[in-house]
Amino acid sequence: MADPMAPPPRPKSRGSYNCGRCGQPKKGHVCAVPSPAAGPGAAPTPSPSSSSGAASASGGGEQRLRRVLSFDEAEKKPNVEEGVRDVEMGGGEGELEEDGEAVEVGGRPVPREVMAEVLRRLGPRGIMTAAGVSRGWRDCASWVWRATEELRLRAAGVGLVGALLPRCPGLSRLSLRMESDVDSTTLVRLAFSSPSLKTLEITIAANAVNRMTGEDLSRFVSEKCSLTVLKIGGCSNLDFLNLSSSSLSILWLSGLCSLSKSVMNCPSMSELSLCFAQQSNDCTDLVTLMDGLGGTCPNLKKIHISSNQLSNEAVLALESANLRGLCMLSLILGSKITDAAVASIVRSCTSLELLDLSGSSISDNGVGMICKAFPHTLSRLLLALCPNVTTRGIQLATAQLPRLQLMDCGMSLCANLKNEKEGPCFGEINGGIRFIRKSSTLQKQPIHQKLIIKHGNLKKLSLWGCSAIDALYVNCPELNDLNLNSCTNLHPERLLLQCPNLKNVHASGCQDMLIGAIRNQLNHIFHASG
Amino acid sequence: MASAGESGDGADGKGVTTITIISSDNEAFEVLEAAASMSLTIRHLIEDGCADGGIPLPNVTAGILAKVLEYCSKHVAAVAASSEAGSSSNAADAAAAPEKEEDLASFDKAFIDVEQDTLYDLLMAANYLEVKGLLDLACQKVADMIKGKTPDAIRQTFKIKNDFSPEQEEKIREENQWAFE
Repeated sequence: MADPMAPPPRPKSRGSYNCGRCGQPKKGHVCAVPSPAAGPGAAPTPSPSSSSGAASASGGGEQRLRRVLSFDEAEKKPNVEEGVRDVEMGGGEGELEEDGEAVEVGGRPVPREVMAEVLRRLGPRGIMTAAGVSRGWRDCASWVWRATEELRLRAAGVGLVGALLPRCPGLSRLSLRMESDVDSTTLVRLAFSSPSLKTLEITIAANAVNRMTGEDLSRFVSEKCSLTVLKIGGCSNLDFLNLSSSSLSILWLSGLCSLSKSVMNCPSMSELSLCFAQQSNDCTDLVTLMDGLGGTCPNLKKIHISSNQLSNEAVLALESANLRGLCMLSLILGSKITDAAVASIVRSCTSLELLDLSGSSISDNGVGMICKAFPHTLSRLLLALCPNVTTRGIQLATAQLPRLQLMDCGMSLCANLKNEKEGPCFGEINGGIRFIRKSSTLQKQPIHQKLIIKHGNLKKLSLWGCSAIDALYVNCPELNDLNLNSCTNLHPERLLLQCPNLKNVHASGCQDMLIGAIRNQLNHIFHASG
Repeated sequence: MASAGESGDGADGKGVTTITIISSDNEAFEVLEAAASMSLTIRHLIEDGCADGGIPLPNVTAGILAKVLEYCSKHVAAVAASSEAGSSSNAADAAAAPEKEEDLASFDKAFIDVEQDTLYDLLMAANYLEVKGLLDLACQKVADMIKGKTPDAIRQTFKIKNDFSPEQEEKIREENQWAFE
């Protein structure tokens, strides 16, 4: 039966499977474009400041700058509604060979690849439901699963994972948000069903527990020889790290408690992120860990470690590891880190692009050392919650680092703690607050400080929580984003903003008059986020 | 390369080229080349020099072709307007940009709010003509009509016959029970 609406056969070069986000052909494609839901002021995305992911250009990288890994954050609401981005299919030309089959919709045949585009938009659960409509729909759904290369399952349970994975033999990228416990059996299932798995991301919802042990993880990593990216949250039961993989390139582990041993034989590793939940029983030997990196992961480019065990000795061990390619270094919440560590960093690294020493005890002298060492390369400097850094240090940085695009001085110029009981707050570039244990070295800075920032390239500036500032002059022609959350003492009449490209100003917790003053100074789009 | 000044290619005084497209029932539509080029199929035909005398589309009727070209013209105009606004340093223009995006979004929403038969025709035409934006819009609309419904409700919406045997139906239901987890 000839169908008048059937399309004529098209040359194979005109496939229609393009990524919903950036429009590039989907085949073998990993999308670098951040999902539209993640904007300034939105829920933090899970990405340490040291990681720029696939978006290495400075424009895309800033969006994803997060110091706080949000794997465990309670405020990140699991988005159960599924949609277009949850199922990405391969657009290989092999698939188009079979496009003679049509699926019936409303009495009229729809070519399978078009129906697949519709089904894909239903998300994993929707596709499963649609499979029950008719035989044609069932076959189309199976075809969608077979062509699936990337899958995002939210609110997943072991049952759903176990049912779906075998249907997607070509699965290359998997992202799971688990709402039931994860243990070795989950990993075994993953290992068996997905032979081509390259990227695995597991986040744990608040009501679930990640029971993976060091043994489980070691076995999994050694069995998956194609795995290049591994990101796991809630690693509270990970007792040690012993990983051997020639393919693994990116490793993020968060929610770590205490590692008795860490050995990572991963010669291809370029990016490492270890975030420890700040526990008092943490006895991880970071010195040995850093020491070992030199021999086992010589190609590391990006390191992010968040731990209160960080010390000058650990940084010295990193220096002896001699990681020549290091371009992003983030060692945060280490209040024992001082200018001596900065001296070591400056000696061992030649061209840092990002340096994050938030939560450390470095002083203006340390900032000076940083400026002398990396004026040609440093584009992102994060010194939030550094109580010994003053306006002098900040002004030094903006004067001597011409390539600077992002500067975070949140909570560093802090007059006093609003609430002694809660301890210092620690947040990230968009001013979200997360509470950590009180740092004993926190000093009070005098109020009535004036800050002058003049910079030709700066795009994002965060002064959240800088309650010691009462006068601010910002002259940055390229500035897009300014965070003044909780700058409670900033005087409305002592604020001057000469930033014609400013798009976002965050001013929650500020006096109403200040918000008014900001509005008056900006004659274009003003966005005060809460 | 499209030849200029030949029959089928109109060129007005401003130097903007138009293209003639002919539907399956022999109705001719004249549109801006930029708008017609939103269809990859048409764009390739233009590039291959087949635009002389108008481009015939034996698979698309006049009614649907008119709608597709309406979509393309509106979107091409929006792209032109926003690139003008982008190069303008006028803050008022920049502030107007999100409003114009909203206009386009409401246009799209109204545009795709059609009867099932028309929606089907638009879907097929967008696929054949390779108009990505329209294909996305139509696919999303169909998906929205499916979302949240049980298989039975989906069958009713689209008048689809349940051709499963009872055993097959049971098997499918069991295999996909995780849909309701």
